[in-house]
Amino acid sequence: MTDEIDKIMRPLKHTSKEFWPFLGGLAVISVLGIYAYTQQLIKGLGVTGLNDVTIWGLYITNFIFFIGISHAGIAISAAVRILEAKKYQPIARIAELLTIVSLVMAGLSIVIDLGRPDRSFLLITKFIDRFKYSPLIWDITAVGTYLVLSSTYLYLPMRRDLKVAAERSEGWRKTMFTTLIPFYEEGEEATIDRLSFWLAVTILPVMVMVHTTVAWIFSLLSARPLWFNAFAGPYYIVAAVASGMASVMAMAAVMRKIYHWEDIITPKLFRGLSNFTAITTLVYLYMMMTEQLGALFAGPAGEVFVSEAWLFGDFATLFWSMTTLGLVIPFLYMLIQAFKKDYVNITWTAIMSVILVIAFWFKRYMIIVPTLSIGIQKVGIYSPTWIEIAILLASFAIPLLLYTILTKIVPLIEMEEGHHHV
Amino acid sequence: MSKMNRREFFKKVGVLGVVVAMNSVASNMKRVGTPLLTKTVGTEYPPPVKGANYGMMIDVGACIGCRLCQHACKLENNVPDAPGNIHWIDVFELDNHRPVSEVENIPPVGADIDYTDAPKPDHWYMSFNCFHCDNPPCTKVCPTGATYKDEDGLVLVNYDICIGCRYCMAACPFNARRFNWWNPEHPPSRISTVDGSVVTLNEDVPLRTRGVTEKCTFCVHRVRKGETPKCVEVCPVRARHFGDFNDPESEVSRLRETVRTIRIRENLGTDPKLFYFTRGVKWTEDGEKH
Amino acid sequence: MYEILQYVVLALQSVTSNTGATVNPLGRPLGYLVIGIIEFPVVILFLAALLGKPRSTKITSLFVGWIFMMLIVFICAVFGLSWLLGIFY
Repeated sequence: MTDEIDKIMRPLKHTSKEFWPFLGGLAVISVLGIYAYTQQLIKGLGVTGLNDVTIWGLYITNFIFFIGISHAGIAISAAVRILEAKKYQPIARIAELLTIVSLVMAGLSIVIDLGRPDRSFLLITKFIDRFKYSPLIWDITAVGTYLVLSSTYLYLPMRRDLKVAAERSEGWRKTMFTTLIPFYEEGEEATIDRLSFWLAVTILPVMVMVHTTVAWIFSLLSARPLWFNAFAGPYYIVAAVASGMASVMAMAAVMRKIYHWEDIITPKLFRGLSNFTAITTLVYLYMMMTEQLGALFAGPAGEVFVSEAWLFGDFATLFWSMTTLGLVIPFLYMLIQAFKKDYVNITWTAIMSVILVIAFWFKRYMIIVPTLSIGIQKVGIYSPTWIEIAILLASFAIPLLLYTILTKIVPLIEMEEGHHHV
Repeated sequence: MSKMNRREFFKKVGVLGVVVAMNSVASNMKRVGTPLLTKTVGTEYPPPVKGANYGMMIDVGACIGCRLCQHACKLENNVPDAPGNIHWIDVFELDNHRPVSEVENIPPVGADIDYTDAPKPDHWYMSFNCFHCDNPPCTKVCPTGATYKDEDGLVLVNYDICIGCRYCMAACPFNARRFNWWNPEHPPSRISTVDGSVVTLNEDVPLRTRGVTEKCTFCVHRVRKGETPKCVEVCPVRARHFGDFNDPESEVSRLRETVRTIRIRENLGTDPKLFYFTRGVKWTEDGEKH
Repeated sequence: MYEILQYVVLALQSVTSNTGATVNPLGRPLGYLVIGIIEFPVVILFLAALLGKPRSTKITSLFVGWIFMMLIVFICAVFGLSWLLGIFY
């Protein structure tokens, strides 16, 4: 048992020689992205490929994508707590951290997209006036609530692990861990367990509302074909859960490999996650089919235009490669794996997960761009510029950077069992 | 302040807060049912005309597609030529074989169509600017209240509190809104593309910075002083008519009694106040001449 | 008291029914409903946190304090970012 705690605490105490180059690489990409963003700030959003017809592009795609990623973390750890699914406990915190960093990036993505980000405080000062009407304010409220609650949910159960970490470290690390747990008292675990249970119960509906309000940003606009859609909420949530689960799997596989946690993060756990991802992907494919059928059959002109652009027109290459290579193939892989008894290939599952995550990014791009460039006026060419690409890369580097730093501060796996025996 | 007093003070403040909140709910109730709403900060525009409901009617049969309105509008409203050529008015060239219900098919914003030989035979021209909807989708979605519908029916933008999220542009069914993608350049004077004269910046119209949304205001600075919008004034064939629909004696009210009109994408229920009509034969359902 | 009830009824009416023949350009204030649904679980959470057992004043205040701290951090981050990016405008 003590061995296990030492293993869990390894990343907190030891830094491998690959760590610093990796961190440095991420930092360089982030700085390049920030430089590109300053160019955008100085010259205006014209430096992007956007125009008066295609008004939203990569940044809003990123926003939906990161909100989506943020969903799995809490879903997994809330399930651990509410359904007592102890099997998944080892990856609960890995997933929660993913939630936090991707939520932060989602918020930043909105700010990056603003024409006057220096006025973003108006979103708060005008809240009382505008919350009655603007879906964007609803979304910001939901995201803010979610961020506050999920950080609480991350922190409270972590206190006991930080306590163990403090007991087992020396020097500045001990000071750091002790500072992170102010007002610690013996036997606080029972109260915290109760609070965490209620937090889990609370976070699940908030999580549903977060992605529903994201969907409403688009689906309440009656003028926009394929956005204006009554089942947008569930549709987006399924995508969020599938992409989030896949990203957690990929992250867990990487952590397992680099920190040698083979006997903590077991293949059984991957098998469960992979089965669940397969099911959600299938549901998503089904919803996509429903949506396209509704648009194609005898839909209003706008719907038909956009749907045809998806399936046969300008976006067909992207759409079909995304669907077949990105969704169907990982789905089939995970399905076949599910039918093989007690079998799981973690490397391939992780690769398929990454493919799935990338495909879901492109799916979000497909949601945003065709509707705007074809929906109202059947024109408007959008291709991202280098500034957008640089910011896109940075918006993947920044959460990873945050995550990498957090692995050095936060015990990545709950040490609950160990603690009870200590 | 003693402890007791302080408690009473907070109690009073609390009650006051509840009352204020309730009153705001109540004033909201009053607003429902009246076609007016909220301006958030002090305006650069003249105060709205009480009881007016401005709208425009465009005679597509008369329009020759000269685009004088488009150019005059740009000069009147300090709309920049560079970088990023913004037009508040778009003029589209259509032919007889394209039904009006398919306005999705119109050419791109800023498409380079040669109008010098207009009107071409068998073609007709349709100009678009902000429709100043009675039930505007753009004002609903705005997260800061920067775009709002004023009491005289004009949908305006407060450039000082626009954060540039472009949500209003996504909500607009008519692509009527324009974004300042670049920092606009305002040369002290421009050569008018309408009559060749030298035109300086119009001091009645606020300048925009990069990153905010703008659109046709129906020349709010002129209209509220009793003048017509610039595009109506310069139209050489009097295809554009502007006025107050609440005034039964106004030109547009009388026109609406006499001609058949249509509006674009009326099914969305936005109640646009830009009516299209023609006195010619092109749009009559039964082929009768009017 | 009666007046307050009246306001509440009016507020509910404005959400649930069409109160006028002409259209309000801002639509119905559906946000009351949406924000209510978003924040309702939080109310439950606070009730559960404050009333449930086992209870510890220290931990409960830590919990409430943390939530408010994060809320303030969120708001300050928005203001801070606005201020920081203000140098470009």
